[in-house]
Amino acid sequence: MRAPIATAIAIAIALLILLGYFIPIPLIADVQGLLLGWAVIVAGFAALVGIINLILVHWRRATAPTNHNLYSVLVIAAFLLTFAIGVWFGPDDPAFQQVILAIQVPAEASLMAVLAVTLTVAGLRLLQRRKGTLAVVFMLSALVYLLLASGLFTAADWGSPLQEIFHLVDRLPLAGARGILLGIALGSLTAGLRVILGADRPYSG
Amino acid sequence: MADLRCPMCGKNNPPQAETCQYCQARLKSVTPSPSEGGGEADWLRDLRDDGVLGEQPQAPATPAPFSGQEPTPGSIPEGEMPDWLSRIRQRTSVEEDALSQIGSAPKIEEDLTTAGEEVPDWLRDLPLDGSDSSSIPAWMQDVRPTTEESTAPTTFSQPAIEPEQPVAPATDGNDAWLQSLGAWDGQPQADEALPSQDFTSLPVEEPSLAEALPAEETPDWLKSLEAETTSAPASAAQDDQDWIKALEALSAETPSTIENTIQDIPPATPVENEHPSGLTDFLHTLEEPPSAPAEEPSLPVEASQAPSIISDWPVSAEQAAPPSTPPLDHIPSAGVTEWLDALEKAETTPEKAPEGAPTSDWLKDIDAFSAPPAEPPAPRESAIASDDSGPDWLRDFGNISPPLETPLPGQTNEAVPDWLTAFGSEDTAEELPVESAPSETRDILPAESLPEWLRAIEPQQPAPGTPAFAGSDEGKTVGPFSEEETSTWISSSEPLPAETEAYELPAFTVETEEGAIEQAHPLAEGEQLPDWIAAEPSTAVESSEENGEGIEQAQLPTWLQAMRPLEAAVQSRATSLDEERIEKSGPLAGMSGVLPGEEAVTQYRKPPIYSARLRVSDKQQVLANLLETVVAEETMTQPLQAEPNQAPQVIIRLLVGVVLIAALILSLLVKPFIGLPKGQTAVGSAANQVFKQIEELPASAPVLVVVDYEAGLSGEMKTAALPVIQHLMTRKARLVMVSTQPVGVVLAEDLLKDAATPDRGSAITFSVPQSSANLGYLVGGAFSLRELAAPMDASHPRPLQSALPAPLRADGGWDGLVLKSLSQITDFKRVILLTDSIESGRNWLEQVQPALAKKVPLLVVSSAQAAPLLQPFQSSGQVNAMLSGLVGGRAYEEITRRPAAASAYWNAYQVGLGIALLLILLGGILMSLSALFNRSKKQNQAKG
Repeated sequence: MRAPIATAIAIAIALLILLGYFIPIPLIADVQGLLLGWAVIVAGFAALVGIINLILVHWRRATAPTNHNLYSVLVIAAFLLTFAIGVWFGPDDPAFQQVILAIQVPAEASLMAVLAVTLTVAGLRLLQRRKGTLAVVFMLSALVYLLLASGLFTAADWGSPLQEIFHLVDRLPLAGARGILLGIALGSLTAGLRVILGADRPYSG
Repeated sequence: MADLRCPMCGKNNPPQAETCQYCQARLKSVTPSPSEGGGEADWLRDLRDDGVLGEQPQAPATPAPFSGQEPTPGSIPEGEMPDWLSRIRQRTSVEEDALSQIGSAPKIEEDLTTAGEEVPDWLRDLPLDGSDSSSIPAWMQDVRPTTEESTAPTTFSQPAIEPEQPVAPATDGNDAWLQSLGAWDGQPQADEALPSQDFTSLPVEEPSLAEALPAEETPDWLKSLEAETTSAPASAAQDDQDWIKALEALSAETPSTIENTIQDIPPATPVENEHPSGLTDFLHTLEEPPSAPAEEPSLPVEASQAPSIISDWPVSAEQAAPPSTPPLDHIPSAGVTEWLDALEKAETTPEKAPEGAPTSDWLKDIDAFSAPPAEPPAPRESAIASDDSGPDWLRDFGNISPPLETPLPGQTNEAVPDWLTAFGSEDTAEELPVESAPSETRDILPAESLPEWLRAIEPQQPAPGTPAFAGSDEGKTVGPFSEEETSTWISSSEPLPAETEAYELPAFTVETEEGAIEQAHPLAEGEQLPDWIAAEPSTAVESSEENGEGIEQAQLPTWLQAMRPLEAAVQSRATSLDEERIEKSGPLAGMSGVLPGEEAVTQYRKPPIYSARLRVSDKQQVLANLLETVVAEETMTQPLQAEPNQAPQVIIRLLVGVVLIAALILSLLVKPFIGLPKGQTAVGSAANQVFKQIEELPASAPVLVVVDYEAGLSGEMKTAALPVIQHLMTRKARLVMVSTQPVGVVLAEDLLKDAATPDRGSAITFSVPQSSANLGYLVGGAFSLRELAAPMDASHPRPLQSALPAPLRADGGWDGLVLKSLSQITDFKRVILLTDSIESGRNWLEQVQPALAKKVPLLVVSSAQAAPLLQPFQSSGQVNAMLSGLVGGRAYEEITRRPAAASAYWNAYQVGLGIALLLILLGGILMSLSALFNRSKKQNQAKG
């Protein structure tokens, strides 16, 4: 067995946290709170380590003897500028916040707009590239739900039977979403049990 | 008889085979082992069985051979007579009867024998004076006068024997003859009390055979013999076998003796000293040493290691005797058989022989006719010359006794036959050393040509006390000269020609040269041999030439055949095998005896080559091809249809983009012309529920607003959340902003600012810094939410402060107006979650919602993308109300009756969705038509 000590610690802590959910004992709750505090600190430090690692990677790419990556230089420059403004002005300064809102929000919003156009073009050429049943189903479902989301069918008074059909069609995504959530929940439970039982030891390297 | 099994190759061979027919290995050992019984003839075993040997040990208790007078046969009482002698007498009587039946047997006067019944019949019947020559065979009659005439002028130059040498008196005793043999070695019998077997002891100083003979001249058989003789034990415990071994060695030494005898023959010149007694040469040779110089090498066989009988062999002893060796006359003739003793005495100095010497009667007879000296000046000559009393044939033997030295000058070889002259000339002219005699003799005398009596000696090794010439293989020994032995050597003297009468050789000597026998001894015309004699010579002579033609082939004893020269065996072997094969090709061409390799090569052939191909039938081949095709199709990838060109794609993309952008811009510019669906604003709708939850908030109620959405979706989220935030501001709620996203903090500030801006539909004045707080970025994801939602207790009086100790923006901090009353999560009156992702919404619903415990309503404003996944939580009651997307914002504005950004974007949103729907539908239709057109075109091409 690799890393038996780490495994033992992981199992012990997992059992302790699990008991804290089911047994309302102050001691266990205190220990659970303490361990969760440590986990938050470790997670915050991991974010800082991730930021440092990101800068070093781009630094290596920018300082490589060959194939200089100019985008890495821009990343490092933007990081240093933002870090300097944030340290200098603070995160609650309107000017510092305007820098983020004037750069990041339009950029990401533009990407979402391009995505919308690309999806539209893909839907247009779907039957040209992939001919088949699934392509046809995908195309029809997209058209239906676009029409439903547009509010055309819900705005008009189509009568009771037809309205019920629209409600039925509108619940289909809800059913699928519940299935996805149930799958995620079962997967998370299984992963937790495997860690508790020692079957999975992602911490052992 | 069982087959002989070859010890080398293990194959069976005929019982008479000497060598293996397959590997040519010797099948029979050179020296018979005692266990085989070969060392003892049957007659010897019979004698042993009769107790002769056992009763007559060679212990000192045995009567000394020289101690007393030799008892005459007549004087021996019947009770004291040994068995062997009794048997001999009995057999002689039988032979006498047989001869009498023949009728032509020679008659011998009985008055010449003192005791006729004791003398062998053949000797007894021999006429001593020739008075009754009619009864003597013609050949004998021819021999006698010839011998007398030829021996008269012959002189022997034999100085070795001095007349005055005393002859030891023979003693009576049953084994006296053997003891006399022991005395032949030239050693004085110092101790008479010694056992007779001690005659094997020879002077140590005598050089051995190996020393006497050069290595290159020593034949192999002699070497082997030497080895055997050297290994012969001399201990007294093996005395019983010594005499047997000695006799074997004697037989091995016989050739040398024969040669010595031949050498003794005067080449072609008359001898100076004629043998006085007229003994046969072989007896003379036995008795007297040759006149070889004293410095000549001695006996080839080392005396100390050789069998005693060899050392006792007179000739060998005399040849090997150093100068200090006493003459033969001084040697006591102990152990010599009486008849031999008599011969000895008659040969040497008969006048000095004591009268009444203990000799056998029949030998006495011989002695009687040979002993009287005729010519005093030359005792030997006179003895020979006056040898009228002896039988003619015996006198012939005496006459032909060869000189031991070179003949006198001036002597001629007129009377000597050619074959005999060759012998003498070779021996005398070359002056060969004595050491080479044995080997030469072996070469000259092959084993087949040995006299039978000599060959018979070896297999019939006599036991002590047994006469030397007595016995036969099958126990039919009747006398010293039985039919087989006697007739041979006698018959050998038969064919002597008339012109060579003077130099007739003993029979066994002549037999060495078969051709010479035929040429030198033709029978005179008109002479007829008696049947009993005539049968033998023809057999003896022809047996070597006509093998297996009704005549029994002469067979050498095993031990004697083993002692033959290797050349004889090798020669026969080489002729019988493929060793004569001569290699004709290759590097060994011209060499014989090469192992045949060509035959072996031709026997082998190239091994068959088996095909490694798998034999399959046609059906199997078809199935295999089918399987191969199926597998290949599975692994093949369908190539994508290549684009006709890139230009239409770019045009389409640009066209789609331009259409969408133009439509959205146009829809933004015009007033809303598309109404909101009635259901979105109806009672019980999502927007209505959210509105209701906010409307129920008390004044200055703390509301936790969680801003967890990305900057890219901030346009949709802000449009959906802004009416809700404006509603909260209307309700004078204390807004506490928090975010689990790094950018959420800034977006929260931007949301508050926009909500408080009157241009965005705000109807009241809301002081953001004083009425709101921004706790900042909550680090740690779900862990931080768990800590944030931790209930307050003694150890955690303010979990919210513990989770967010340093708010990003808060007037007065945790002790300010906004945050002063807030210690835990349940202190908030509402928790509004603004999220665009399922993950962040799930974390809040899983980690914080349980802590709310239905005391604090959780409201969710999500994007249209995440709404379907969060809607289940609303259905389960975990989310009190949820408002999603632009539609939800437009509906909430409709409820609040304050049109804001959602109403402005609603036309563009509806136009954009409509255009996208049309494009997808149009594209599907066009592509379907294109596919149908292409298919029909292909069908037409196929038909046409």
